[in-house]
Amino acid sequence: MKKDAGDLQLLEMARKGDHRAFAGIVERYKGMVANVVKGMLGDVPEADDVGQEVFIRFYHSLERFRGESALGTYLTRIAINLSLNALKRRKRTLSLHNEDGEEQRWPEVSDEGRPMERREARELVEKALRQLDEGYRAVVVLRLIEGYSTKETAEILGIPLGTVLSRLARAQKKMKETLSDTKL
Amino acid sequence: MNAKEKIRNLLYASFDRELDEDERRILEKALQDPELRAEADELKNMRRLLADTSWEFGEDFTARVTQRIAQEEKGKVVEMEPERQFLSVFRKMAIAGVAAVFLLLLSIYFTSGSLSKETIFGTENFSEDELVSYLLYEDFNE
Repeated sequence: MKKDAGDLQLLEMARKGDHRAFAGIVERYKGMVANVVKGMLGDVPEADDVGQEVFIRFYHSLERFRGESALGTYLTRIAINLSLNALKRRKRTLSLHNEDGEEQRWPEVSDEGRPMERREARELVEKALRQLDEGYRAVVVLRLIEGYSTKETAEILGIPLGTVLSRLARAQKKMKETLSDTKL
Repeated sequence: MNAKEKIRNLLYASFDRELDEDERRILEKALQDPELRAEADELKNMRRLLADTSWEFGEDFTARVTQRIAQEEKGKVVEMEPERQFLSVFRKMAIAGVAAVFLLLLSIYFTSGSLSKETIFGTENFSEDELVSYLLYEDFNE
């Protein structure tokens, strides 16, 4: 998440219109953006579209990016905002089609009691994240999945540090209940 | 909030912020309780599971991003085309105009031997009175 010489060089080249340099930035940060977007939205096709939008928005703001924050943090901020927008859109659509307003686009998880493989573990995490409201989910994704400090998480989300801490505690209690049936 | 709940909150907080001396002492003492220790282990495992979780986009993700950017830029070029066409035509007309004026001045110079106001306006053979009459009376030459 630190700014490095490679980032600065790629940014400089991308600003001059070098598409390969911009592709280099995408390659470097797509995993991080995927974690944020898919952590928020689930592993659904919509998440890929939002991920693309993150980089396209960044491309259009290349000239405005002054490097005051690390590139990773800047992209994370765009990713979290676009994910929250997508969740709002999803809620609106669901409220039109589903009286309960329950989110249904996350993949369902079946717990068969086998030793957890990577994909299963990920689905379990998605199941636990799905139980959380967006504000809590965002805190968990940034702090516990992406590994930002509580201070950085507060800055990215624009909320007080105390709110981050209280949301983290509540979110973990709720997630632990969801995961308690599974041997971790 | 009862004492047990306060200790639990302290346990959760211990992962995300520095506890002060008193809080640390209270938690250490409380962790002698096997039930709380088990909860702390569960919490650690859950956080490890979350930290180990990662997702990926599809294989051609980067290509699709750069393709969309290229398409957008192509769209911009098409949008700007009428403006560019106008500028191109204007530039050609301006160059042609300047060339015509230059050729006219060149021919005047070679025929009259100078580029004075009188030779440019063709009045070098008129006296001042003739010129005034020429400008005031349309039928001067009739």
